[in-house]
Amino acid sequence: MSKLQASSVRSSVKTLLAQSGEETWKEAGGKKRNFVETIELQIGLKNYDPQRDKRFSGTVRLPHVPRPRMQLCILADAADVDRAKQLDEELPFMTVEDLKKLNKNKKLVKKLAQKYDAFLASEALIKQIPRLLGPGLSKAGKFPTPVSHSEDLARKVNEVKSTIKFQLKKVLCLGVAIGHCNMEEDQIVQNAMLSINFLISLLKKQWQNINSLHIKTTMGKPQRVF
Amino acid sequence: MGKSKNSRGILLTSNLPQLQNLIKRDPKGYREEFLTQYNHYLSLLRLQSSSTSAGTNNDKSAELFADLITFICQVAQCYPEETKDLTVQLKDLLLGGGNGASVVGGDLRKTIVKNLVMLRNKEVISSIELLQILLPLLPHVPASLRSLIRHTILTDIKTSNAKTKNHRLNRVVQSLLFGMIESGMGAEVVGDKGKGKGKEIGGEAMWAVMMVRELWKKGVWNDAKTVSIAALAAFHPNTKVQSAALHFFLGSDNGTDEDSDEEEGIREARRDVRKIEHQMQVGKSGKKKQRMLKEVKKDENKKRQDKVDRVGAIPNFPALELLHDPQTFGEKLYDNLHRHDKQYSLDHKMLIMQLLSRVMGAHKLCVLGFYSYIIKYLTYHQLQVTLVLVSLAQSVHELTPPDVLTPVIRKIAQEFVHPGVGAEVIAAGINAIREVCRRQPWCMEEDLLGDLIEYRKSKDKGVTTAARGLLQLFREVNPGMLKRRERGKAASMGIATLQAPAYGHTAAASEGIEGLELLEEHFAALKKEANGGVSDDSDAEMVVDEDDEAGWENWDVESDSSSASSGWEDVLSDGDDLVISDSEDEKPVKGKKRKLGDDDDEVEKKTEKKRKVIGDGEEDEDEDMDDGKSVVSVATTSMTAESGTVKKLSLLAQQKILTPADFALLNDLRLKAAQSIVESGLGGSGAKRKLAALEASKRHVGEDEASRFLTESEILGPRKKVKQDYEERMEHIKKGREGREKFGSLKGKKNKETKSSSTNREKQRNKPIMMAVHSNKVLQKKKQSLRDKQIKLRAAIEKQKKLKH
Repeated sequence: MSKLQASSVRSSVKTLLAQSGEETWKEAGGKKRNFVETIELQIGLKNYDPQRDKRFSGTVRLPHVPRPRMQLCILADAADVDRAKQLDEELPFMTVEDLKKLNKNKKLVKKLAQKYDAFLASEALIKQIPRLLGPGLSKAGKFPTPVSHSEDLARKVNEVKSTIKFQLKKVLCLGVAIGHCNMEEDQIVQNAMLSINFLISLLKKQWQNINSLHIKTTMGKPQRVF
Repeated sequence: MGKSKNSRGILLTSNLPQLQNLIKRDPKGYREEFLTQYNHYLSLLRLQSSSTSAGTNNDKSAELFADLITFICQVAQCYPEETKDLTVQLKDLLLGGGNGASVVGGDLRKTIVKNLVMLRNKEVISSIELLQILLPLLPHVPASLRSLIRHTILTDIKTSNAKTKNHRLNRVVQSLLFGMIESGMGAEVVGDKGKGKGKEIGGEAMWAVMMVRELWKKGVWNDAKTVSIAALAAFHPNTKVQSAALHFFLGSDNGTDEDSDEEEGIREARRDVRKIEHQMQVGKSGKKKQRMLKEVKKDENKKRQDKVDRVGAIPNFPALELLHDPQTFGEKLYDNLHRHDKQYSLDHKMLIMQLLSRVMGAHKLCVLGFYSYIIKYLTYHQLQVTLVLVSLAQSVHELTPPDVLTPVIRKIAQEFVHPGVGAEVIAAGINAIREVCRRQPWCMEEDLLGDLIEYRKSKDKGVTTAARGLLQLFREVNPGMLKRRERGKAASMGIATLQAPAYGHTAAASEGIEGLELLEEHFAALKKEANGGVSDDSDAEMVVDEDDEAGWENWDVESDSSSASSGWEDVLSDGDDLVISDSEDEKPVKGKKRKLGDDDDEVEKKTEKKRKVIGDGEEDEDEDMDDGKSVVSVATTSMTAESGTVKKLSLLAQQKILTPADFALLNDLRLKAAQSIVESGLGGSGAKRKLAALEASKRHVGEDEASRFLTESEILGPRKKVKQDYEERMEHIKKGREGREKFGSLKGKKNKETKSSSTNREKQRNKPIMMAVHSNKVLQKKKQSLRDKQIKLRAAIEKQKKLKH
């Protein structure tokens, strides 16, 4: 593969949607699943020496929320508890007392971290988090995002939901969720392009660092785009 | 016939090598003879195992036994059936009944080891079997044999991993090593200080760690399992094992070794090429020479390519990154440090501190006890205090709670930064505070900062630099903490809203790619130019050609061009090479810029063909959202409400895949923008630094970021060179004299390499005294008149005076 063009991204998104679509899956050779499949972008890197080059990490906000069913939880003080209750779709919350009950117990903290995909925390509380919970949350990569009283909680929730993170771990490949099958084709394409472009801009040698790019649905066949 | 039979019979008993030779030629025919010898061997073996307990062992029989073993091993491949127990027998001989101490000693042991290696080389036994015997043997043998065994093990593992990783072997060996370390883990910790010193156990663990270190250094093993072995060893009761494991993680001697090997190879190949080129210029240049030149060049290219490939092929994560559970590792390290504070020597504690702080920094851990522990070491008269400061600063990261750091900072300020201590101490203190604050700015208090910054008026250069560094840091991260007049131009004029994100806030998720708006503007400008400057609509109509073929031209230059022998370095460094193209309808972006002005219709054509007009700004985009029935358009619409710029920013990146050429252009544009800011003088020194960073990144693409960790020199700061005292000077002079001849002429000296005739002066000096006394010269001096003597004396005095001045 030597080039990547917008049209090819679009066409592979089309195939993906066809393979998991209600009517179209039969002729497209895919299978309809009983849940909404997530679409993810998988990246293989090359010419990258983790010992020498800086390990990159970056977060980018996508124009459309890729995972609307993400479970969030707010570690809240009194005012934020009220706000969380008032949201259209009630946001699960935990107060300081609840957190103290966990008693820094590693297993309980781990359980909490596994239960939710991301955390928010009131600004007043954020400093106490490491003391209250120990390292459990940051170990899981779910250190809470602070939210102040002046911010709109609903918007903040959406912002967290639409933010994706690229981080290199112990292997030279990464994957991120960029959408789901119920989204419009245009939206998926936009999300995909933005995340690809952003990723490339993070890399030191840009395209020369990319080995492969795949798009796939959770259980579907991967489509190579680059 | 009979005679030969007879002589063969004689041979059999005494001459084993002869028999060995015959057996190898005809295994079947000499089976009987072999069996005789084998039975002899077996009976000797039985004798051996019983006799060692009795303690009677004479040289003769040992020698015979060794010969027999060699013989059996040599021919073992011919009789696999008969000798299938051989390995087990030899293993028992070496290792004894599992208690580690071997049954045999001295030369016999060496013979057995050598024979085992030979069996491995003949592939009679597998390398797993061999290593299972050799590894446990390692701690129990004398040094000479040990080096042989170590070498054997290392080369064996290396060769079996040469082409592809031999996972089976590695797993077996790793679990062996793991077991060697784990067996000693239960014991009580014996510190390297005070009473318990010297009573150390766990020699095999030491060897296991050494083995791991060596294999890691050579790049044979580079997986997480290796790291976990070393991680276990870091808590071994024996401090020597511990320190070896700590060094493994700190990488004190890692790297460069193999690199330099490769470099040397390339350099040598280059030299060969030069040599032949020169020979062709000077002497005859026939077909043969040309062929040789071609071959050498090919060789050189291959070596270069190998090196490039290796960098890409085997990603070598540093050991710290591969730790399985860094948090637990860090906590255990701290526990070890804290609990055995009294037992460990300072050097060892420093090692643990260094590693702990690196783990904390790299994995963003919170081991809060460490900060209260380290406080007691923060006094200026503490030995190795710079290392303590370094570890403190390294351990801090943006998720360290500021409230645990504040007392530490205050302690440093109290201990290091006051008029009662030397200037170096103050500089080190301020530098340490600066490094901590760089990582976590919120641990600083306003009044303390004010005091520290006052030190920039100090007379000592190191102190001034340190205080200025601190001031500069806070101008960037949190000018609000400084007094108004110290805030600097950028902050006080409100040009740059500089503020470090509050605790827990990560830098806001970026909306797009840095500098993308520049690219967008650039494209808009191009469009305008193309329309002959008539485009007057307020919102720049953005045009994107989705399939930009041209941008991909030659982007892969770097990987392709390495076949051209000499020019490839140039290509690598030059980003502009990405856009070389002169085909008609596929124009690189830069070419477009130049041509667009005059080729109007061509552009028009292109527009029709490819371009997709996105729309007049936001309304169109909003419509798009609405009829898109988006599930969650809340985010998007709110974003639009927030600011138009945000919207505009991410548009281009959503519509088009940026090509390599686009990125090259983007970098250029960013550089230009930074330059213009610096020229206008608005951005202050921050802008200048940014420009410098951009320029640097443009210059060397492959520049490494090895400086992840602090060094002592950063804490010490620049130091004024003090005048040397007498001893130092003399030492310096003596060092200069080392390895050189004494100065002065060698004329007529005895120690000249080749003797030559003596000089007149020398002859004069060595003249016998009686001859000299009676010489004319001396006699006349004696006889001269008083007046003459006076004249001569005066002249001599005059001359002396003149000489002195």
